[in-house]
Amino acid sequence: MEEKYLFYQLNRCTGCQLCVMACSLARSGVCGENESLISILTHPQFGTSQPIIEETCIWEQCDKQCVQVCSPGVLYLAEKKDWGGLLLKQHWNPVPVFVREEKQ
Amino acid sequence: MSGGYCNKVAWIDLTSQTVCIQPLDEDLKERYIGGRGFITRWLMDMVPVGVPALDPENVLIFATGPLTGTNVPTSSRIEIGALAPETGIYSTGSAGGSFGTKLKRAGLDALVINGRSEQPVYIMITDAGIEIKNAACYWGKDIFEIDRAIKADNHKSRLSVACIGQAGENGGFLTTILIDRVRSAGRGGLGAVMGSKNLKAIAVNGTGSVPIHDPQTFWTACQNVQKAAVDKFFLKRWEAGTYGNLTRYNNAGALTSYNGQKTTFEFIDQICSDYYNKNFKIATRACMGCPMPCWTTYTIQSGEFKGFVSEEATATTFKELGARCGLHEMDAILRAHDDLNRFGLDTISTPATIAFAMECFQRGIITKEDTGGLDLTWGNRNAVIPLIEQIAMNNGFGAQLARGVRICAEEWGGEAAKYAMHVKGMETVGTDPRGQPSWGLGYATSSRGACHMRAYANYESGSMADASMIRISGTTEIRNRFGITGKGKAGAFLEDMNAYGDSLGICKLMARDELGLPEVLIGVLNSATGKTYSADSLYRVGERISNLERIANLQRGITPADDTLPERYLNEAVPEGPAEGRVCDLEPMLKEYYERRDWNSDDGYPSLEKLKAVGLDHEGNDIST
Ligand code: SF4
Ligand code: SF4
Repeated sequence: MEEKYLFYQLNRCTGCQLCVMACSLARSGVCGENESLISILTHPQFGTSQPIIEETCIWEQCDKQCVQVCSPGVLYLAEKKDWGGLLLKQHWNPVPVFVREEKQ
Repeated sequence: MSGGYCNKVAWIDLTSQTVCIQPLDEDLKERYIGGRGFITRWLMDMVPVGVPALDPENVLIFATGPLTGTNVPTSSRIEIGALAPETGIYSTGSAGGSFGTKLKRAGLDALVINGRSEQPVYIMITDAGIEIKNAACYWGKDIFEIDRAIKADNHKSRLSVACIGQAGENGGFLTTILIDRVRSAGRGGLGAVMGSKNLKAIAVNGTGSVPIHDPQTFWTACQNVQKAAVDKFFLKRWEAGTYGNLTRYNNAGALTSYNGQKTTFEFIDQICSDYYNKNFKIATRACMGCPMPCWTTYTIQSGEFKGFVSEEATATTFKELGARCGLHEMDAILRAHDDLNRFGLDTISTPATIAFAMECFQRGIITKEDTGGLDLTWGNRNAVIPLIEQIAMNNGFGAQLARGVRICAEEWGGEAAKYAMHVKGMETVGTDPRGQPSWGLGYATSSRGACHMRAYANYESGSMADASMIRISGTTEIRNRFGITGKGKAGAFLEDMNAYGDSLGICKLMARDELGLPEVLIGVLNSATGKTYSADSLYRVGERISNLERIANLQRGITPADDTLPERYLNEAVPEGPAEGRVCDLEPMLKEYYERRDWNSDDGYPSLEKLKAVGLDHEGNDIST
């Protein structure tokens, strides 16, 4: 299995949640947020947003529907050969991973 | 399986403080789709002619469409409607943000709210149900304060809050309802309607999901619409929101300046997108589900308001507070715009009313004695900003302006009516129809008073392809911006298109052009809902809604004589700029429009054939034939 990680560009996410709904629809055929492995954190005052993913997203085989719908090009599903280059760049970051069990 | 809808409506009676959840009627869905269609139907059925807008019997409705909260681009929309105090007729308007989506995720398609609570209340909607809660401690708070307070007190930062500011509490007509602080709907004074019910806010956060009939077909259909929307709009909006259009209006001689005394603005460089982007803009923001973000956050980093941060600046901001009021200091415009949102004021009608007062001041119809000492010289920030607060608080000179230009003009008498830019009591937006004739027709025929978004005719500036417009209007003449032939037909078609668009739950900023055509939208609609609309039957829904709104207006005393424009647009030639010498030649457009609609030009009623064709021939006995 080819290892891939989701990266995101800083200061570009509009908070539109199309990625969330795309993942939800692909995984479970409904539009919502519970079924999605990607979530968007949005500041309640400033409206700044960024994606986070659930751990499962890392292992998931999918058609990267979230990347397909992201019009500002925030998301990039990077293959191993691209990781180093992206990590060197200031404005690209790996999407942080949220591990459900750690929360309790 | 059917999808799109949650199939539940909450009927909320604030007098008895009761909530009743009922299934959505199948026939209603079929005939009116959702949003604006539902609202018009319910208002017709529930609010008898003669009930005043601020009476407990008026009904305030929040209705989503079957596409709201889905993957369809721009499908965050919720339609809000009621009988409007400013106009005495229905007003429905669409807002983005996340309220509609979160309402659907709470399992509800619509909220129908009637009665009046004795004490201030707010409504809390979560997966667990609906609660009517005490809002005594929130009364008097502004939009930003209430949004924060409700989230903090309930420990739920993900709530979406729809609320009114002080202006709505105080019953002013220039008020709207704000969603997520800065998305707004309900021109014509729906803020006052909500206030009259003692309802301060509705907060919602459902975490469920919207079912989809055929997910795979739906995904492909969504992607097709999304690709077209992104190709057409993304870059433009990302770079300059909707305010990028300002320069275009100016260059077309269609930018209302100084209340319409001119149609270009000499300070355009100081209120245009380049200047704003360079000096104020922080980031571009989108409503839920929107791939073509159109609004921005900003900060002021020098002068009187140094350090100020806020959200949402759109074309309206710069058109209405800027050119229309002759104000060209960007920091004052942004601060004033923020105040409009903060107090829950209409960002079109409030500046329009201030501009009207400024022209009356210029002409000596009113003086400093009338204004409580305020110097209403064009562009005076020290008058505009305090006046906004007075209008919201319903005190000083602002208490007069709070009822809009029509009532002020009646009270001030003399020539004032000549400068009152309204149709059916609602103020026009700052696009001058002498430079864009189709907008003139749109103002005149709009079912809620001078609303530009009923027809939203942008084809004169090239946003809809000629081929489509020729098909719709039946003439190649339609390509001529200052032409007349074909514009009546085009206006009627576009009104119907927006009527079903507002019922589906999608944004006009996407669906006002090609992407709103019925053949484009039936794919997403049918795959989401499992219904089998054809392009014709979807269009027919729009036509049904337009005709029903027409009937409602006629029942409330509107006549064909009200389908007109402010005198200035009809008779006063533009003195300068690209539209120099022009007036808006409304009459022939209107004639063609009436013929196309099959409406009688004497009494304004749809013909019986038309009513039959749209399935409204049983619409009560009081319809003349
Ligand atoms: S990552 Fe892209 S699709 Fe997701 S919310 Fe941000 S801008 Fe929208
Ligand atoms: S175009 Fe603008 S108003 Fe419409 S949904 Fe998108 S962000 Fe919201």
